[in-house]
Amino acid sequence: MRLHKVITITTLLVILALTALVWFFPSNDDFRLENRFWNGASETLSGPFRPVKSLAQMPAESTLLLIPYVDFTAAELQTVKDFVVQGGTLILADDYGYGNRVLEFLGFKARFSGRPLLDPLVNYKNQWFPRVVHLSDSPLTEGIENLALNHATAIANVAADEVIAQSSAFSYLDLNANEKQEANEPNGPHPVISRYSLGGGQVILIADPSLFINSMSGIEDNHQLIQNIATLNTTPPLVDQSHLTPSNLHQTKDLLASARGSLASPLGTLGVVALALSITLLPFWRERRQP
Amino acid sequence: MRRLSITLALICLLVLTTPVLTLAQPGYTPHEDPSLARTAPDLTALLTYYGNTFSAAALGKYVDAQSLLTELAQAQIPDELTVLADRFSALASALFGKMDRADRLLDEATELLATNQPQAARAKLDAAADIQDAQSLLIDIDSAARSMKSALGTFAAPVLRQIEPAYTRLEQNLLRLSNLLDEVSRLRQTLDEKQKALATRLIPTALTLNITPQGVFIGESVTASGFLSASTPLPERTITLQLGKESTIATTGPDGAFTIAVNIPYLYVSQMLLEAVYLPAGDDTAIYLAAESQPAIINATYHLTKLDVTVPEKTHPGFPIPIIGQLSSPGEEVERIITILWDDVPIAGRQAKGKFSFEITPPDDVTPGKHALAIHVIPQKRYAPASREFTVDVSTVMAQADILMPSVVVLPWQTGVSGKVTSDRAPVPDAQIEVRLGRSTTFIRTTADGTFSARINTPFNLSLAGPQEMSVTVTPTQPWYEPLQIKREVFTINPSSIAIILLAAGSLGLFLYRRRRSAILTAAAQPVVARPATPQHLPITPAPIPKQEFIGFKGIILSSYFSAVEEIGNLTGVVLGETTTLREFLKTTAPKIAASALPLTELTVLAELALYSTRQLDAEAAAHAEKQASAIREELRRATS
Repeated sequence: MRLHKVITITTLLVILALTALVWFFPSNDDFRLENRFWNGASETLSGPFRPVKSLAQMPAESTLLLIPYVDFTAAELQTVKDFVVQGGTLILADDYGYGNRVLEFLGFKARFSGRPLLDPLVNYKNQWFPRVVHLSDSPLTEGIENLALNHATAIANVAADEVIAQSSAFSYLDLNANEKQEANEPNGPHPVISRYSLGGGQVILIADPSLFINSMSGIEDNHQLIQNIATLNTTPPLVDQSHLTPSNLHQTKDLLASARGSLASPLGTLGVVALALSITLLPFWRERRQP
Repeated sequence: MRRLSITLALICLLVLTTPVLTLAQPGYTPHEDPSLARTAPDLTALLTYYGNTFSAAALGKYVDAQSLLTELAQAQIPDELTVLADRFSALASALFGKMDRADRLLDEATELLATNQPQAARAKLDAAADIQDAQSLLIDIDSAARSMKSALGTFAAPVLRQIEPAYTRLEQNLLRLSNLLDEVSRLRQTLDEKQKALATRLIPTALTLNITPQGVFIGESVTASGFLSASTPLPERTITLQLGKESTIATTGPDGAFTIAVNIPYLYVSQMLLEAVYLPAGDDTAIYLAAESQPAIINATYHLTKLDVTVPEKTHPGFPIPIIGQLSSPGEEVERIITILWDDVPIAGRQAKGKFSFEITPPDDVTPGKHALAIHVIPQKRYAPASREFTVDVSTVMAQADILMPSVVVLPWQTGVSGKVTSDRAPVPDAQIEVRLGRSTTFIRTTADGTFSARINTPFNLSLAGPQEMSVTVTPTQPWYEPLQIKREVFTINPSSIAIILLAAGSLGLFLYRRRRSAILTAAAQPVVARPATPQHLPITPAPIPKQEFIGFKGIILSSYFSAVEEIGNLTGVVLGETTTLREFLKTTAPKIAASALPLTELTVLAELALYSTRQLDAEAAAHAEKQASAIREELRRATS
C-alpha cells in the first residue's frame, strides 16, 4: 500500500475515533443537566426542571433558575427584567459570577459579596461548607430545617424583611482569603437567601449555586429547597444553561450535535445521499468522458 | 489522492494540537466534592466563641449570649467532646438565665422604690436572692473550662498553641462575669437597705374602690369611686384606675374621695378587674408610701354569636365552594362581616345577616391535598366574634380519552388522530390536545361534545420502517381536571427512505460490478511480462527486438546493445519485455551474469543515450559500445563453456 493511502486511512480513522470519543464521553461541566458526576445537575434539576438554551425561550409567569457564570448582553438583561416584571419568578443563584450585573440592572441595592463565607463551627465537614440554620417562614423554606452550602458567599445590603435564610453567628466573610477569622472580617449572621418583588414577579437570590449540584442534593435539606423552588409556580420550572461556562468538551459536543441536526434534516439527508451517489458514480462519469 | 492525504493529516494535526478536544476538567469553579472534603472541626473556634459568649454576658447582653449558646448546639463538635461541650453550654445557659432574671428583678425593684412602693419592691428583691447561687455556677463553669481545655489539647495536640490564647480570653471573660455578679449582689444589698429605710421612714396610705353598677354591657361605663387617706384624707391627689391595658385618671376631692366614669372596652370576657393606684408625686414622695386598692370585679355582658355553617369536605382546583350557614345572636339581628381564610390567607369577605349562602373559589395555585378553611365573623360592638374551621380535601378529577389512531403510518405523509375526552361520561370541552409523533407536533382543541380530530404531518427522517411512539396529551382548560397523556406505538413505513437506500445500494452494486468486469477485461488484454523473481512460473513473452535497420553511430550502439540483450536472454531466460525499461533489465540480469554486469551497465547507458538523448554520439562511442558487447559475449561464452 502506498504511503499516502496509509496516511489518509489513518487520519480518517483518527478523526472518526476522536469524534466518537467526544460524542460518548460524558459531560463534566458544572451545573449541566447532562453531567452525571458530582458537579453536574442531572439528578437535582433534570426531573422537574426544563433546560433553556437561550433566555429568549422563557414562557411568562414561570420560574427561571439562572446561574450567571457568563456575562450578559444588554438585550439579555432586558429580557430577564421583562420576564420578572411580567410575573415570572427569577431564582438568581450566584457566588463569584455575574449576578451583580443582573442586580444592578434590576435596580436592587442587594449585591453578592463575592467573598468566601466560612463557618468554623456550624458546618458540614469543614468551614467551607457552612450550614444555614436560620430560616424565615416562606414557601421556599417549607419543610427545611438546615441547608448546607459549598464554597458560598453572602448577600450584602439586604433589609431584615427581605431575608429568607442566613448563616450562623459564627460565620464570617474571609476578606483576605487566609481561611482564618480576623478582627476586621465581618461576623455572621450573613444573609444567604433573600427575596424581592419587582413588577408582577419576584426575584430570589441564593448566594451559592452549588446547592444545585448532584453531590450536595442529599446533604441536609438541600433537596427540599429544590422541590420548593420547583413548586413556586404551577408551570414547570426552567433552568438557563446559556450562562454556564462551557468547557471545550461541551463546545465540541454542541458542534457535533448541530452537525448531526443538520444531517438529520431533510435537506442534509438528501445532501448526504447525493454525495454518496456522486462518489459511487464518479468513475462511470470519468469513464464516459474518456475517448 | 496525495493532496487529500496531506490535507487530512494537516486537519488531524490541527485538531490534536488545538484545545478543542481537551478532556480536562472545566476551569475553576468555587465548589468541591463534599464526599472528598476533609472533616476538620475547628476546636480553637469553639473556645473562641465560648469566650465571645461570656463577653456578651459580661456586657449585660444576656439574650445575645443565650442565642449564641443556642447556635453552638448546631456546631460540628467531635463526639468525644460533645458531652463536655453540652455540659458547659448547659451551665453557661443556667448562669445567663439567673443573671438575666436578677437583672430584671432588680430593675423592677429600683422602679418600685422610686415610686415609694417598698412592699412590692421587697417581693422583687426576695425573688432575686438566688443570684447568690450564680457564683457557685461560675465556679463550676471555670472548672468545666479547664476540663475542656485539657480535652481539646488531647484531642487536637497540633493546635494546642492556638488553643492557649483562646482559653486565656475565655478565662478573662469569666473573670469579667464574676465581677459583674459581685456588682449585682452589691446592688441587691443596696436596694435591700433602701427598701427597709423607706418602709420605716414614710407614712403608709390607704385607698378604697367601689363600682356601680356591678354588671354592664361592654361599651357602656361604670362609676368608680373611692377614698384616699393617710392618717387624714388626702385631697388633690392623682389616682390611676387601671382596667386591663386601659387607664383612667381621677383626682381626689377635698375629702380625699374621688368619683369617675370608667368606659368598659369591647373585650368579650365575662369579668374584668378594675384597680386604683396612688403613686406619691412631688413633695409627697418624701412623706407617703404608695397605695393600691383591692381590685373591683366588673361583670361584663355581651351578645354571643352563634355560627352554623356547612362546607363540603372535598373539592377540586378551580371549583367554587358553596358556604351555607346561619348567624344568630340574642337581641336585634344585625348585619355582620364575614371573612374567609384559605390556609390562613384571607381570600374573601362578605356581609351577612341571619341565613347566608355564597360561594368562594380557592386560589388558582392551589395544590391537591388537605387545606385549612376558616370562617371568621368579625366582632361588632356588643356582638362577639365567632369562627369555625374546616379541612377541605382538594383533589383533581381524572379525565378519560378514547383515542383512535392508526396502527400503520406511512412517512412522510399526513396521518389522522381522533377521539373523545370525557369525565364521568360528561364531555370535556375546549381541552387542548397535543399530538406528537417523532419530532412533529400538532395542537387542537376539543369541541363542545368533547370530540376532536387532528391531522399530523409526519416528519421526514432516515428510518426505513419500524415502531415509533405516538403520544396524545390532553390538557383540559378547567383546573380541576388532571392532564392526561396516552402513548401508543405505531408502525411506520418510509417509502422515500427505502427508495433512496435501494438507489444507493444499487448504484454501489453497479459500481462494484463494473469495476470487477473492467479489471477482468484489462487483465485479458495485457501481455504477461516475465518477472525475474519468478521466471520459472510465469509465461515469458520476449520483447520483439527491433527489426528496423540501425543507422549511424546510434545504430551501431543499439545493434550492439540488442545483440548483447539477446545473448543474455538466451543464457539467463530473462527477456526485455515491452514494459521493461533498460535499467530494469540491467537490474534483473546483473546478479546472474557476474563479470558481464559492468560492460552491460556501460552498454545500457550508451543505449539510453542513443534512444532518449538529443546528444550526438560519435564513432568513439559506437566503438566503445561494440567493445562492451564483445566483452559481454566473451564472458558469456566463457561462462557457458
